[in-house]
Amino acid sequence: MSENTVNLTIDGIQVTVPKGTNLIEASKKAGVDVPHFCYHSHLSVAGNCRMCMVEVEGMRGPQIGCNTGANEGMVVKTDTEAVKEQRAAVMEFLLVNHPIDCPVCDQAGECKLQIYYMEHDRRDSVVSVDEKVKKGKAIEVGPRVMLDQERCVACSRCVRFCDEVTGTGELRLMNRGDHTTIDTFPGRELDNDYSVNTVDICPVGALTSRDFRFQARVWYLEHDDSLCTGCATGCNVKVSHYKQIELDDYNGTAYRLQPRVNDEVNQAWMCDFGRKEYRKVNDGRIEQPFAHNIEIGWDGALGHVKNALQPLRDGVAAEVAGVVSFDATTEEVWQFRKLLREVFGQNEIAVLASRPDGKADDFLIDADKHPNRAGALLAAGDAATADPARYLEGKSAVIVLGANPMATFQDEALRQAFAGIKHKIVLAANRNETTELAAVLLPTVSFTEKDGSFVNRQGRVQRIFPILRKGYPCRRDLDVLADLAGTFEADWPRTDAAAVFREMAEALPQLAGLDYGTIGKLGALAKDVATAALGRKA
Amino acid sequence: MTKVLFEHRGKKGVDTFEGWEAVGGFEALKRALKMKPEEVIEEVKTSGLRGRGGAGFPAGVKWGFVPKNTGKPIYLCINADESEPGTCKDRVLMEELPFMCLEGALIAAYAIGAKLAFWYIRGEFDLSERVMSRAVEVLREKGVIGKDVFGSGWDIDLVVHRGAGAYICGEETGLISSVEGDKGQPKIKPPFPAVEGAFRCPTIVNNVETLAAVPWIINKGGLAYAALGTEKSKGTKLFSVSGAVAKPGVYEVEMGYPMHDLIMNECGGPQFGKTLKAIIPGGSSVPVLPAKIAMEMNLDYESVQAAGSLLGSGGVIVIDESQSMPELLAILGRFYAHESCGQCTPCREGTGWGSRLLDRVAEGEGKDQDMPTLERIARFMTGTTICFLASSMAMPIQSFFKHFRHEFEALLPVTTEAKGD
Repeated sequence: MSENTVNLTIDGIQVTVPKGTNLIEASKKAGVDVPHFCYHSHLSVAGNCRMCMVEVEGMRGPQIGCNTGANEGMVVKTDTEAVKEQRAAVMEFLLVNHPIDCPVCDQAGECKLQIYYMEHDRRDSVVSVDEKVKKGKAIEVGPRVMLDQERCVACSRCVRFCDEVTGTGELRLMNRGDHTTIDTFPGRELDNDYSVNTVDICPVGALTSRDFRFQARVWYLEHDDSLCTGCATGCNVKVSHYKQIELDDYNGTAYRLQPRVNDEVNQAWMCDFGRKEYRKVNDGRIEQPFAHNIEIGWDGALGHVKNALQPLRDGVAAEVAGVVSFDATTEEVWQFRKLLREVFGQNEIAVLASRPDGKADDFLIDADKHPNRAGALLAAGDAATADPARYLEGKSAVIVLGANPMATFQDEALRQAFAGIKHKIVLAANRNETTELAAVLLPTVSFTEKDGSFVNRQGRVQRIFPILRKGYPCRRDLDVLADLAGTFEADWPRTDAAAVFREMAEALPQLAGLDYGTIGKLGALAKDVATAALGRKA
Repeated sequence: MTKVLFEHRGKKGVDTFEGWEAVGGFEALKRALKMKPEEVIEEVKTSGLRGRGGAGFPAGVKWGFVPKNTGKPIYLCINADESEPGTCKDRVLMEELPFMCLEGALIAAYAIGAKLAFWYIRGEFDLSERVMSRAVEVLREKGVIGKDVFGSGWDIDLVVHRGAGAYICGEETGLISSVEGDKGQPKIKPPFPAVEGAFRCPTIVNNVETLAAVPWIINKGGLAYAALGTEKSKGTKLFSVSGAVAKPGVYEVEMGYPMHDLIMNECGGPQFGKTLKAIIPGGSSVPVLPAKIAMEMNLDYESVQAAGSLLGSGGVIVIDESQSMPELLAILGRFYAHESCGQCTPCREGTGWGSRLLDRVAEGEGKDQDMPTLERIARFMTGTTICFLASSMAMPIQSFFKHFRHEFEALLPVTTEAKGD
């Protein structure tokens, strides 16, 4: 035992924690859940909800767990009669003026009031509705957040978030007593780049997301781990989607992204821009393979590819070009490069941005709006061409993986060079300027439907997971690459993302020693990648 | 009887600098500045002076809590946010003896090592604020507030800060929040203000009456003060008597003085010869006592506690037979519901809910479950919040019900059970 840790007993379970750890966190370690509203692991302690009362031997009366530090030999009890009575009393107080409008409340299903009522109170109300204090309903407190003051339990989490995390201080607890309510100052609105985090941390239905409002019932939703693909930060997120029992249940729709705690990357937060990334899962998806804008099955589409490219494989010069983007996973870029080299004799590929640099701040928002610039450049290595326009000039065919060389922000020479290529084979999940020109269009999947890894701006390798399935015949990018190769060479090995990563880890010193197991849910740092592969400041 | 605070009250010109000097003013400050700060603290500890704001914590001990050598500035906050219903003693001290109050504050500031003090005055105290601001101006002109006070090498500045009218700013951490410019709401302890108070620096908060006694203690010695009063409640105390007495007002008596004598002698007995029904001895937050019990107790911390109440701020509220206890309690309930800062769940919801129930009971609109509900509210409001406001409403509810239950029951509907159905 080190000098800075202490041993204490919580409900008879012995735990060792750093000295001073608050009793809510210490209890978590003992597997004991202490109910709380105002306490949040990533905000200062307010100590006002009074729900987290526990009994500590030798201390007079119940203590709030959030502001009581663990000491050596402490004996804590979280389930005594006194504690249970106090919790029930706090629940009764909280519900005195609460409208109890669960049937029309978006929070229902993930509401601490609801959950704790079932666990700790479960009594009939003795207060009739007409005796309750009336406050503001459905207030557009900001462009992305809706406020219902009657549902608020005045825990002040949102106030502390705006004070301590963004430093913008839009929200305050106004008025006193049971007229206390959250509000902005007159003429101000809750409009910072992180405002929707207040919705996530709101334990009740007071703050709701205007984007997510009335879209789904959360008790039908599942929340699975993923990454935000909105910029190079790679915030860890959870994707909310309907429980998929049958393939066509709600067709693999994503409803929202919420931050997942990763203290190395995004703490417990994400930006409002990144929240829109879930739309890539649902909107503008390509649902069928197309050849010359005519819907066609996979076999037909691949046949078209074979007919167009077979003659070009036999020539001396490499006539087939490859274009990939910083949106692709590291594994995809690796396999894409291999496909071009092994099947089409093409040693160079172009690795392009899909969108220009954008807004940045000194917290989570990065100017680079791609999830995997570092990883794509790492996998492409010396195959990445320095001059994509010249590289594409005069080629007979091009295979595009998720890139958008025809985007309006791209260099004019590049756009012209690309437009001039006769055979354009495009693999994409969502429609864009480039897919419009595709001779053969092969539908791939979004970041929620496949395995893979991204390397963020810190050089941190993080994974995405196959959590959704679509009801239409789109295919995972790595599978389509294998399909393409198989069209020409029957023995090209079909392989999954984990195997590709193992291959990369053997070949690339930056990834040495890593595998999907060690990366896990929270990622792992690659060696020297932040400086070596990012390369954009050089 | 020895007067400590009111020794010079009413003397002509004593509210001016010269007048205060003429009765020996600033001798204590000069004397203290020649002592070491620890010696001043020791003298106040010897005196047994306890905080007069209501809690009764020994002042010298509190001063000793300030950590040494933290590198942070130390602040003194003078609590003149006298808002406890029934209490009006600090106001008299400030308006009639402003320089005595200031002298005491300056000695305290010197003792704890503060270089900046905040005189926090209740928003509604317009005259007090003007008197104190003027007095501070005068002291600045005379060099008593400023650099190198009386050639001692000690610097002090003092800011008069006027509150915006919230009862809870009289609670020390609420006062600190307000001084910092934030909404006046109490803060969780630990950290305690002596360690981390205003602007996260060590801060001592003292009541005006507490500090006003300090010059006398420094002049006459801690032992002289300790010789007054009882064994555990030393010195004298101001009682602001209001309600059904012939001569309401602020009176200074020695600790341990009989309540009976205060009411019958100082205050001239009950108004209009009526019979007394009840007395709240220490401001509206403490339990009410039936007059019979209250009139037999002595006025010191221990005796009042033994009788079932608290000495509190010394705000004695006298109630006679003509008054309705349910109505009085409903008024108190409205006060606390209005003044709850709204942070803690039991207080935010309990004060308002309780007040609505008390109102309807007092109006004869009560329901048969209202009293048990009120008792439940009071029980779970006690000791479960950051500050004492919730308990301050619970104690009156519990004591009014305990001693005057029949008055409440008389207003409630007759239940079928009671009718013997």
